[in-house]
Amino acid sequence: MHLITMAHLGEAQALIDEFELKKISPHHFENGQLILLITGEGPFEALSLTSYFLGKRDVKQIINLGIAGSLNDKMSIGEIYSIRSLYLAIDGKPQFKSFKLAEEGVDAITSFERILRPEKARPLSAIAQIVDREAWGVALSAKNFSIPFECAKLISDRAGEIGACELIREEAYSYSQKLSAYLKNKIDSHVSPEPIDIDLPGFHFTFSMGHHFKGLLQKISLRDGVSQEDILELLPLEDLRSQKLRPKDRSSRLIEMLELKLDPLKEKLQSGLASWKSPYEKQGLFLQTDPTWENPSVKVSFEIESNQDLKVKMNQLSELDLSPFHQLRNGSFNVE
Amino acid sequence: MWNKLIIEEHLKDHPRVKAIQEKLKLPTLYLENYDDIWGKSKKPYLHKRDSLNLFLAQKKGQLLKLAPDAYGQAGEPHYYFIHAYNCIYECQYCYLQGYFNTPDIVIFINHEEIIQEMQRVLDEHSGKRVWFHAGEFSDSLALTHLTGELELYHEFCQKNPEAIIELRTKSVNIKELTKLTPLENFIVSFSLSPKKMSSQIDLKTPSSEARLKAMASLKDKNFKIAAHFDPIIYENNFKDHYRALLEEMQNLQLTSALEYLSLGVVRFTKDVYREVERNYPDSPLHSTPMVKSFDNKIRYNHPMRMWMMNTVKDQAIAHGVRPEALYLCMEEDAQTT
Repeated sequence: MHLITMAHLGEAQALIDEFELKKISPHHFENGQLILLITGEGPFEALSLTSYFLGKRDVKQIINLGIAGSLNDKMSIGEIYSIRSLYLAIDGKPQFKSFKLAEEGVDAITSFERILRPEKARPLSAIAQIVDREAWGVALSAKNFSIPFECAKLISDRAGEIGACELIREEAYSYSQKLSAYLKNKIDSHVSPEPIDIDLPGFHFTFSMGHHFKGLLQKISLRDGVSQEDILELLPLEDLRSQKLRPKDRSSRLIEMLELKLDPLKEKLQSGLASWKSPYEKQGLFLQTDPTWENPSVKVSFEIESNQDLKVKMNQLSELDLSPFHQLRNGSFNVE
Repeated sequence: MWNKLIIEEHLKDHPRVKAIQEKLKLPTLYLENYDDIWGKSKKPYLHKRDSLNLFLAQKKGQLLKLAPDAYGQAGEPHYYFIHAYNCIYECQYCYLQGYFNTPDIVIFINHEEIIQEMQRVLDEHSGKRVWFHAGEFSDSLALTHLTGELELYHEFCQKNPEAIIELRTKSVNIKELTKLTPLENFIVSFSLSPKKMSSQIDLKTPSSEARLKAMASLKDKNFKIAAHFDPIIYENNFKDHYRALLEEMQNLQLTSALEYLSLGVVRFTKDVYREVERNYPDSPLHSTPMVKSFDNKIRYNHPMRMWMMNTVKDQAIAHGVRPEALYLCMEEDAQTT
């Protein structure tokens, strides 16, 4: 269900007609696919009514539509602009919290007060190209409920100009028709992205393994400038398939291969560490180091059953040489 | 490039402000204090691409900041002075994207006051060499054709041989600089990366070749030059790329002329890293695994960064950089070689 929020009934009239929305209450219209909420003017009003409604209904997307004033002479009256970022001003003062809604579009600022004089509009023009009265409140509500939010504004006037209200009243239905057409186009063109599947017969990826695998493919593709398909082609998939392994274990091997490919030092560090530890482990001295290599300390553990065992271990400990580990940690090796 | 020029009301008759206004001819807005607007709303970093505002303001509060340990060559006091906030360039690793709440640029106009403070600090350290770095929060040369302050700092160095000014830059905007006389204590340092990496991640900056050319031109005019290989970023054939860069520098006789060369492997605070992921999801910066390191910054793991740093250090020496001119920057085991 899409939730459309608009401030005034006048802006929404054509939309109610076009989408055959039934009046449920003075603020609430719907048709089974679309809910229209008339929030009233002001961010506080928009926030409270939208939040109240979201608490009651299951909504998959919110779109705020309406008219707004332009803060920039280059914007055309009667044009609809989709909003990229939303800011808020209280008593003309910009507030910290903002919302980035899209990569493209223009920026809008929601003002707590009507902008009726040019000197009120001017400082806002340093922040945004459009000023409205409610979008920020709807955005906050959408964010709180983790619901995707979009916003588009039709430029009805130049913010701060005298006589704007009369002009808007005259054009109200034509503006409403434009907003309705915009919404229809948006809903018709909306296609949900398909989840990407990993299709490798003989391999099984759990959700987190799949996520990790795709991330590794993406990183290698970025670094080497080759397509993910080309990386997959170079992997020994057939060889892994011929091995007697469970599909999930095959996937783990594949992930390990990609990890080694991505991290130029991983193999060198792993084998260096193993060959340093190995002779001590044969003597029963177990060496534990920080897997991220940040901490230089080494934890040594062993088991003893007698004083004699202890003496042996003390002797072995006195022979423990940490320098191979420190050399590895300090990058004293050759790669490439 | 610019959206609006925003000027603090009390500065509107300042000659440097008038000169900038005259050059830019932008729609202008006057405010009592620049920070009534600047940074008050969280403005997404990449909005700088199409709606960058330029503020002209007076720097208040702390005019100089003591630089953190391992910022410059060890053993002498290092300060940075703040002539501007934010930068016209767009380097994908830049910490400014997570530092201020806005990419809008502020140029401070009260250089005389900043210099007065530098003099006070210098006098406090009487007899000692004191370093003053520009370029911590903005490129120190990129806008000098507009801002016109270089002469004042140059004059300060001329009067005070024990003060050293470092102008950090990725710019090739050296026209204003070359109008001045070279001084022993007026150093221009260039941040450099290998050609391929630089073209991928130093967005909107002059190319690596252009920077080397500017360096060579300054060296030929007897200016003191230095370089920063910072951040060093891993890529395939990383050693070959640095070798090529150093060879090119050596061919231009730059390596032996360097006052110093700092080396630092790429690092991020958690917040900046998050911003980099958000702003540049396809950046090569994400192609090599990183970990949370000793100071909670996100870095390559210790062996990798030490290997990278040592590799570049050895190559630099092999290409004619004096070993005593090298220092490792912002690293736990940082030291001058």
